[in-house]
Amino acid sequence: MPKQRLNPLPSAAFHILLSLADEDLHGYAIMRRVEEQTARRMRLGPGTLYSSIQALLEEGFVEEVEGDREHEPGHERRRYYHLTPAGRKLARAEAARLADLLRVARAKKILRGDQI
Amino acid sequence: MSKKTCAVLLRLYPSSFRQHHGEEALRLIVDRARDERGFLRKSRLCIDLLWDLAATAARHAWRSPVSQLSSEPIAPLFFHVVGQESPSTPSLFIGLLVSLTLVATLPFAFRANPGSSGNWNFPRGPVIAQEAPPPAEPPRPTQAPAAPKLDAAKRHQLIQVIAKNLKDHYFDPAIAKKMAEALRANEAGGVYNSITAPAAFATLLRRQLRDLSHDMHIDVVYSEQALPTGPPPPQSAEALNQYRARMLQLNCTFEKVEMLPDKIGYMKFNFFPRTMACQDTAQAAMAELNDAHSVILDLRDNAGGFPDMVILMASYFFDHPEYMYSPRDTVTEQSFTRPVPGTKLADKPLYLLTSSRTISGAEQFSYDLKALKRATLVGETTQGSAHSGLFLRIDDHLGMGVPEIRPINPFSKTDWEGVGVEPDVKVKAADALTTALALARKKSKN
Repeated sequence: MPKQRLNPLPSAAFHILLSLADEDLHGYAIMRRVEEQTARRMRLGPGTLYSSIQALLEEGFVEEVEGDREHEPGHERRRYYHLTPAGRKLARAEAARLADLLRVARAKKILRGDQI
Repeated sequence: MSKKTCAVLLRLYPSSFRQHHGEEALRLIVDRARDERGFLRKSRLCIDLLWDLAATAARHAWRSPVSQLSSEPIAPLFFHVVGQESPSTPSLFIGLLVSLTLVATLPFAFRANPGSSGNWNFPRGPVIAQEAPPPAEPPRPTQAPAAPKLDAAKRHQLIQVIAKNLKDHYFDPAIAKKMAEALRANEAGGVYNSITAPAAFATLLRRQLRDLSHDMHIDVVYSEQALPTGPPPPQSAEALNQYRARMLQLNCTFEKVEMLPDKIGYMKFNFFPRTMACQDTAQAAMAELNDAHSVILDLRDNAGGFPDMVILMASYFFDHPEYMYSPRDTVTEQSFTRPVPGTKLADKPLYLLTSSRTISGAEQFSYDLKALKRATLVGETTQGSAHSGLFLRIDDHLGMGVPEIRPINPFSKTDWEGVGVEPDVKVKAADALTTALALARKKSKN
């Protein structure tokens, strides 16, 4: 039976895809961006981060690109990651799935009024 | 936390993880240790790392069958030395604490994946402050079928073919030899033993070859569909007509051609299409700017294209032939600009807007006009993709790109491969147009 490594899509992988939606980032910047977009609730450790990136790379959802090193102190060579069209599609599908869930939760009056 | 402590901590991660991600993971830990100030935040970092370590160890231990572990070479225990100073007492204490807690935590970590179905080898999440997992009922995105697995014999055969392709085709024999030897040494050292997925093998080889050569055009790719055999069929007249029609439909990617106040001509185009389809469109676009006092060409979203259009576009800005260096082509008559009758732009100030997305042929255009001191580049360093070459089939699903030539550069010992073209005026891509407009206005007043 074929492995379905990203099905269901783990939350770390989803957040990594979202972090790359606007710009290409290196590993540490992805970790910080995920921290920001989850209001500091999710801090990816190196093991989770790079294992997730590896799986996304292998499935073609992200790709490695050469980074613009001018913003980095000492111009260190880093690997940057770029969201591929397939990765964007996957993130969109996952977001739609979560939106569906949210609609159900609203209908069941599980969410309070002040929550979106 | 010192670098040395970080390196020691990294040694606690599984060897298969360190093989693939050790360098990046170390940098991430060091970066975070540098940025987390204060006792509380440093303590939180330690706890985060502990959880991550436990989860990663559990995941890898669970993923690795005994047969794979036993086939890996047994390396002697060693530590990365990243500094000359001895570790401080607090660092040693933290290291000890981390190790003890890890040992105590591992049994719990093994029970941390109750929902796993047995064929899951993707991390279930950050483990740190994990969000609640969503219910499983809603539909999920569909997945592509899995690839056929690689065994040792197949990996050996692929490496032999790749090494031969590099030797036969790569433009720098010394680097080709270095890459081939490194791949064989990795194979002998068991680096590839645990890799059975062709896509993962291609990704790892690509990364290793690029790291060794610093050449972003070397590629190893995996294709779900079987790669075609034999030479590509010649392009039919019908295909060329379709290309021409498609380009005309896209206005040959000329997105904006405007005369801005102060007679500043602005043109944004996102590709250099073939002249056989787009020469007339380019001519019409340039004619609209012919009376400009200065010109801004926006290459921030330009994805490159064909050399004949690069030469044609450059020709509008010279009244004499100039050699346009390309790292992909040897010098021919077609490598020189040809004066364009009627152009009034040959002596007008020219600004090129660049971004980190500007790539390939657009980088050649920027590089040459900068080297010839004909244009001022405003924006960000470009992406850094200079070479191109052959695509070679390795087997039914794997192929590789090998740059074949590297002509002599009259301007510099290097080109922009891997480093990009540096702008004259560095600003964020989003601010490049405003900056170039200000420069153009200032120049016209002087």
